[in-house]
Amino acid sequence: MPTVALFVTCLADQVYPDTGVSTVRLLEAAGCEVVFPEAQSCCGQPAINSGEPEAARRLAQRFVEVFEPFDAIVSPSGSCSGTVHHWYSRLVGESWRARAEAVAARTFELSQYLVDVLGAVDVGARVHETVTVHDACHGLRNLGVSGQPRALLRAAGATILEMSESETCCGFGGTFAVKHGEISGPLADDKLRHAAGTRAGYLVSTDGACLMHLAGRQRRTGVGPIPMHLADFLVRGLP
Amino acid sequence: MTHRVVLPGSTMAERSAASIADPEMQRALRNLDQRLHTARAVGEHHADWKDRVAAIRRETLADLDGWLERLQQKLESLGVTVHRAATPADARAVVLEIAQREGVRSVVKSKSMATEEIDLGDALTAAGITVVETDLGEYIVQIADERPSHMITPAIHKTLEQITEVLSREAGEHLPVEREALAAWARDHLRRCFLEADMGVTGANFVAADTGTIVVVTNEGNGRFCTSLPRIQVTVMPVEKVIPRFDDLGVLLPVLTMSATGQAMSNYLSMVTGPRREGEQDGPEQLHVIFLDHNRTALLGTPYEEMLACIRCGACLNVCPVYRRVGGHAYDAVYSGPMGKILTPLLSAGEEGTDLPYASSLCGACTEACPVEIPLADLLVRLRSDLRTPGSPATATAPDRTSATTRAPTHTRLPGEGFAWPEANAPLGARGAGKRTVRRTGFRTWGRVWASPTGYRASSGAGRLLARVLGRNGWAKRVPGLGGWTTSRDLPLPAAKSFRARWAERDAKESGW
Amino acid sequence: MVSATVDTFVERMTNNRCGVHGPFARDEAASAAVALAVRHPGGEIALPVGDPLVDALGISALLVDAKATVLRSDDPTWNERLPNAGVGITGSVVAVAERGTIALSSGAGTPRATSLLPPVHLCLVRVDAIVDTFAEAITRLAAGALPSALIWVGGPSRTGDLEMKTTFGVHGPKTVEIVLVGD
Repeated sequence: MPTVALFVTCLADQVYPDTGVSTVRLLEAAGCEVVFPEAQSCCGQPAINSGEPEAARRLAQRFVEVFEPFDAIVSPSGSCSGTVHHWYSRLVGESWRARAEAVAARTFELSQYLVDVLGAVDVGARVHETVTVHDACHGLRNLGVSGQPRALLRAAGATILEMSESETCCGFGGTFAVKHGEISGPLADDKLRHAAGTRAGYLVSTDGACLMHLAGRQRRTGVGPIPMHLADFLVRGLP
Repeated sequence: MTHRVVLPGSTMAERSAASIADPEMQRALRNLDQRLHTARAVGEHHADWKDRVAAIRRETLADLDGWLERLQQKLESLGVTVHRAATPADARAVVLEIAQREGVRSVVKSKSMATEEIDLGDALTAAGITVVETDLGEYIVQIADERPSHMITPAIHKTLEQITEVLSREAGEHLPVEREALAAWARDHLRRCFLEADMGVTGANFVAADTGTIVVVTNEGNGRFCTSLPRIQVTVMPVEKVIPRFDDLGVLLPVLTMSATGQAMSNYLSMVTGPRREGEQDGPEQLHVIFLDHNRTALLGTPYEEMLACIRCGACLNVCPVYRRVGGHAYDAVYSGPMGKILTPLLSAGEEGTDLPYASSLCGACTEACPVEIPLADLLVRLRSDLRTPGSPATATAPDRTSATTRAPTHTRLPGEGFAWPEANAPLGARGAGKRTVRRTGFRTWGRVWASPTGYRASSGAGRLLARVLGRNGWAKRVPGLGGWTTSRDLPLPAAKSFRARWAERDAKESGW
Repeated sequence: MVSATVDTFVERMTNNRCGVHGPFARDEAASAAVALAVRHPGGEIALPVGDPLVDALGISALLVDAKATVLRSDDPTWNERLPNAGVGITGSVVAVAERGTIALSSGAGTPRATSLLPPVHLCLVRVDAIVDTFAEAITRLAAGALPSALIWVGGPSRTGDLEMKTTFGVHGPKTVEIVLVGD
């Protein structure tokens, strides 16, 4: 039975704990033993993106220390796992580099881990709904997450109705969402409009931050299907 | 005369909002959607060419001084006069000096972002010289008194109706809102300018060091006019446009064209090797090339050296979710889009456009689209740090390079190697202290607190307490300090029980969640 | 193989809105070119006197026979009259099938503007000068001495600047006729 260390992400831990729970349940349904290293924290992405890499460095070194005992580290966030991959080896300093590279090589986003590493496309969930997929940018471009969520959805019996521009940014972008709300908001509208155009019942993605932004906008406009994390969507169909 | 079409003192946020609220601008920008997947096709069908092009560009940058030296020697052997301009002012002075010495009264310009960068049009006009932009899109923005808003399609922001209005004013008659008629009017009108002009000013897409060949790429043929008819040709060449070999064009030009417009090849290429020769009836009698530095060589050996690999295809603009929504004028800079957000602060040594790197969601579509594999999104992240750090490579200025100095070639960096963050922490305080120091200290404190399990738990607990105050049913409609979010979106609040708490409970219960 | 190259070239140039004629054997190519040239009324037919392919086909003599009004590039008033010419005839150096582009060379007796100013450009292309790829053409050219101007032509002048829909006939010729010359 493979052991997986859950990297829950600060967003899921604090704001979307259900997503953390769903992630654990899916991994367990796929036959994993899940451990949760208590000492974990944030991946540091907000600091990196705000031009404060020194703050991120501490968090990155912490991550390496906390997670390097484990064979696989899985998070429900393409951007957080993506940050580990994309930045850590260059951020932590020369004396930490090899350790950071080694940990990054074992850090995955959830759907990527299930499909590519475990080969567990069918985790026993059955959800016969129509769904459209938003390809969250960092998971897509840093980790190559694209086919994996779709494979899981199809295996669960969901009907995928592809939106136009599924790969176009939803407009969240971290501090961009606050600093440039005048662009961020309309980009959310574009994404929700494209999603609405598919007439799918659900809008699914692998990044809690995108979903927070889209759901927050949708509550004001009512446009588009319900944004939901892939893990939360599938878990509803577990026996 | 080129003016800024923006309100002085406006911010990018204000200009973006104005652009998004402008229905004609939005309608015009949707025309760019047809180029959304253009650059991707290059990556998919010509991945090996992309690698070669990326390698050629880095080979050049690894010994830029050397290539420029060789190019200068070759050009001079062909009878071309080479001028080295450290700054835009130097470049303008060179052109004006030539114009005045040769009695130039009218100039025709082929599309050139470099001439925009040095503000050449205004300088010539101020000296009493008539300047006419010959690229149709550039001509439209010129007579509309605007800057180009896209490096390949300068008038992308204008609808056909708006273009007709602009051209009609110039024509002194009502032109029909019809493409062929507008093209025909422009052809006749600009032809007269071509035939009368004393000087043609061009940029250069590439200049080959081994043969001294200047390459100008167009679809309309205006580049050909500027390099065939006037008796003097002046080419403004940003220093990174040099390529090692004429032979490199075999892969550079197809990749440039395919990335820019999706065409197999641009309709016209002018490859100029020296001025008019003995017995020829046209072509320039005098050919000048200005090597424009403008802080570019200051970037060599820094992470920003990568930006000099740019071949000005515009692919990053075409895929950028921000550019596609707000258009080029919102940036209020010569270069817009992702590459412009990087180049503007760098060329100005941190004086201009310092807010531009933040106008990005860091989605990475630009990095993906770039045919020469510049890590654009990473450079934006790096700039966010460097522009707040005194003495960083982003604010360096070029040493005096009016003499042809040679530099030992550095290693050829592989594309995608990426920069490593500096190990030493950036200094607090010094220039621009105050707010900057507070912010940096704040972030470092946050990093320290959250790197400690107790610190993380304590601050999260505080967050949950605050949540109870701010909203209901888990959402807040207004949060002090986060107006940029809450004007258009609800904000979810910390959950009553964190995941940690629930995990701990499950552990304790041993019977599920 | 040769035929596939030519077919690709013809297809590309046709898609670029050129008229493509032939391949013809030498003599037929010459008469076809002259017939195409005289078809366009209004303005003289501009002819470079130093173009090897134009010379080899004897275009000049055939134009005289056809009683066409010809403006020769060695005429001292060439530069003055060329803007009002109706047709410009040129040869070419190399052509690329995959990209749909033809390289013309400037020199004494082959002015640049012959293929630029008149509204019709009639271009002679030797079938054996068509190569598959742009890289091949560039390497071939790089091996020899470069002329003062190498001009590559894809088809009639075009622009995307008017709301991104291709519009023809902006600055360069509005019509491009290609005559393919075989053996």
